[in-house]
Amino acid sequence: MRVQSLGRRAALGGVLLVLIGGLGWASTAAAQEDDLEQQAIQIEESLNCPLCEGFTLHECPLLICDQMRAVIRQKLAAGASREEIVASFVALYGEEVVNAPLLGEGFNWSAWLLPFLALAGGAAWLAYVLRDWHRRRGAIAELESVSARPPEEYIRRAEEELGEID
Amino acid sequence: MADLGYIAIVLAMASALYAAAACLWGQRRGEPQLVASGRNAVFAAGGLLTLAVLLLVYSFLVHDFQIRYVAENSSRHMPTLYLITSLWGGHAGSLLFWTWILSMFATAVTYLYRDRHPALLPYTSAVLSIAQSFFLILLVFLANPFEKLPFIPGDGLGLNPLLQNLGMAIHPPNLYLGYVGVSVPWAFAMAALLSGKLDAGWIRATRRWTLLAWLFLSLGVTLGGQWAYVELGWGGYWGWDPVENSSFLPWLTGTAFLHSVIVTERRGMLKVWNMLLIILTYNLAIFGAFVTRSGIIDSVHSFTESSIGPAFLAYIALSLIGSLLLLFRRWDQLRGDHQLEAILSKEAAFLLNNLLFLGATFAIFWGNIFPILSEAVRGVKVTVGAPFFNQVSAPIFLAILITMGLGMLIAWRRQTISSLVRSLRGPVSAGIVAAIVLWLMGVRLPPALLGLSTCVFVGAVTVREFYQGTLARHRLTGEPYSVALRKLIARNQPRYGGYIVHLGVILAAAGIIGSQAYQQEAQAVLGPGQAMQIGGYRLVFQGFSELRNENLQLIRANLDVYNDQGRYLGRAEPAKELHFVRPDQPMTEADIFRAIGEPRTLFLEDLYLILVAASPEGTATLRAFINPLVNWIWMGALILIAGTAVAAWPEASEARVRVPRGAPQPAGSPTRF
Repeated sequence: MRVQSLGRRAALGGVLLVLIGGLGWASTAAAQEDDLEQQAIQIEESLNCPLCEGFTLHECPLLICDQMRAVIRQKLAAGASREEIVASFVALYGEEVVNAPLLGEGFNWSAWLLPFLALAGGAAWLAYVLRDWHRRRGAIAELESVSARPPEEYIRRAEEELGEID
Repeated sequence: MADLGYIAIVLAMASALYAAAACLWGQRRGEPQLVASGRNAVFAAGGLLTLAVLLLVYSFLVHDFQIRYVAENSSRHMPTLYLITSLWGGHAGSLLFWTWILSMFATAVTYLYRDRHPALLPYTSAVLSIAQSFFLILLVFLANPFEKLPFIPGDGLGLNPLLQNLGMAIHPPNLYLGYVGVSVPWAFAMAALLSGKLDAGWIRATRRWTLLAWLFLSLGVTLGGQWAYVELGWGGYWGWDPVENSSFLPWLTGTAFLHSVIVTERRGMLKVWNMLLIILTYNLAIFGAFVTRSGIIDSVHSFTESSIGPAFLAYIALSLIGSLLLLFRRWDQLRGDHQLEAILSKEAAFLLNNLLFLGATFAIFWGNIFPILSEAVRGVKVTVGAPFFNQVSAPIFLAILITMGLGMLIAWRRQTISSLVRSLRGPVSAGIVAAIVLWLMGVRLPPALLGLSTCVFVGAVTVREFYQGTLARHRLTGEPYSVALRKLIARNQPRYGGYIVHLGVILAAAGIIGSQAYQQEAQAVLGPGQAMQIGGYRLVFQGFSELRNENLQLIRANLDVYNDQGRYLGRAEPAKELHFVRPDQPMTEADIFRAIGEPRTLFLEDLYLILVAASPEGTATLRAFINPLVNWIWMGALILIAGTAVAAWPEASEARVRVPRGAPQPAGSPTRF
């Protein structure tokens, strides 16, 4: 019983660890900004060209993108935050201008969370299956040790029958 | 020519349909002659499709512009090589090419195993023929590559210039070989389900086919990255584009499958799981073709958008439902009485590996289809790009790397914690030392530091496997180390081949981490004689040079490259290329600068230069990147090829003891990976 609850706790711990690890990584990867130029590039890379398919604002050679890049630098220099700048472009061009689902919207949370929830669910299932297989092995080993000795009834009857032959 | 080609396709369709019916019916009713007739129909379909492909290639070579496909995908001035590769430049031709590859696989399997696996093979041929029939029906009714134009144009539209590149000449065939190659293990698995022969026979029969398909998928994915890097000119190799992602998905599940069948071979476990994985892999391969062909998810790759998307979707639904129904019918027979001696065992590590691979598959698949879901649910089409995929998949791939290292250390059946800790000591120390050295070298980003030191840890585990094995052989037999190493690998090629593949993957992973975390970038507008600076290089613009031929105009920016000590390293020539048939689509010809006198350009970093714009006033807008460790990705791919070859190569013992044709396979004969 104690072993079981320990296993359950370990499984729960594993699930939490996967979740925390995933989110932790996501937050550290998002937070590396050295100077304004680097920040500007990061913002450009997180936005799409509003006209071309498949180009980020950073790569696109169109004039409108040149202007948008200039706007980003002006706003950064004026002290605007990354979130404010992104929000201003979203207001102009819609959500599609952002390169990854925005977290403000409820449904978009599923994009970010579902992969980790699925993995956590899978990990819990795996932990259950492994423990089940392990338990079965234990049960069979126990059965083998019991069945190695013939039941008393069987011995008694065998002795009786042997006696009859004699 | 067009009529002959179309007739060949129609006859191939009839042959494939007959082959499927005859093989299935003949085997069910126990009529070997009907099976033999079905087998001949498989060969006939292969022959007819070969004829169709040759006719289409010939039509390209003689510029038969009456054929719409030839007119839309080639022109008179294209070099012969690209005339041939135009075969898969558009959607009807690439469907024909795909179907032809499938028919060649079906023919090869049906011929090579004609006397072996008598219970499985007729079903395998039937399943492959059913798959082939689907594509042939598409070709006959929806995407005829031999469709005629009502008039004969003087010249064709030409092949998209982006596709006129050596990488593009070999990337699609590679990927197709991988995608289609997956059909073989899937067909054998379905044959096992249909015939009720559910032992590991189908796994043994398809071991090399699976490895081959996996190798081609790996190469297809890598070559696609290489093409994007060299040809698209944006400084990167992987854009998390829906089509790229779709090519990656079957690779992920295929890798999980390669690992899970090892557990079946060794312990007889996971039979249902293997079936699920191969069904998933096959359907993801078809999904990859569907995404490319349907254009349902907007992507720079959708060169070949068409209206056959619904047909693909219907086929995926049918093959998925059909395969799963077959599996459920045999579910009880496949479910073994699984027992596990210890949770800490290689079996469990393999399952964890499988879980992570499937987690990565789901994450990427989810990101791929999320824009469509969002449009359906909220009416807003969002974009899911690199920032999403990087952040969601990076932790999963890190976990896969760690599991790779642990999995190699943990023993089958049971491993005690104390002995695991003992064997972990060396590799973990190597990882920690690497982390300290990297920190001192200025690698401070936590994800990069963690990722790279994990690579060192896994690398140390892998090298230790070779080292300990060689040492043991040397002590036991007195062989010199080189001989001992060679014999160690030869004694268990699948295992050590797999470890070599691991080394390739580790190298590529380090390359990906380095280039993602430490890319530098600079842009400048330079007049002649002016210079820009990036990462210890000084680039001096020396004006333009121009090249013009009948097909294109090329404008090169001449850049003299100096290192930080002021030493001249050589000339770089990033260029803009204008193909006259597609004047609206100027091409960026990046220059990846290398100098023998500057080893860092050979091994550690790419100086990647792009000419963004050339003004009539003579100024050049230049963009320069330093891409660290990108070369390691390509080197990793080469090592991966070598490792797969070692794993798939016939073993010395196998060559000596040849089982005569028709003889039953010895029970329990091991197939190792």
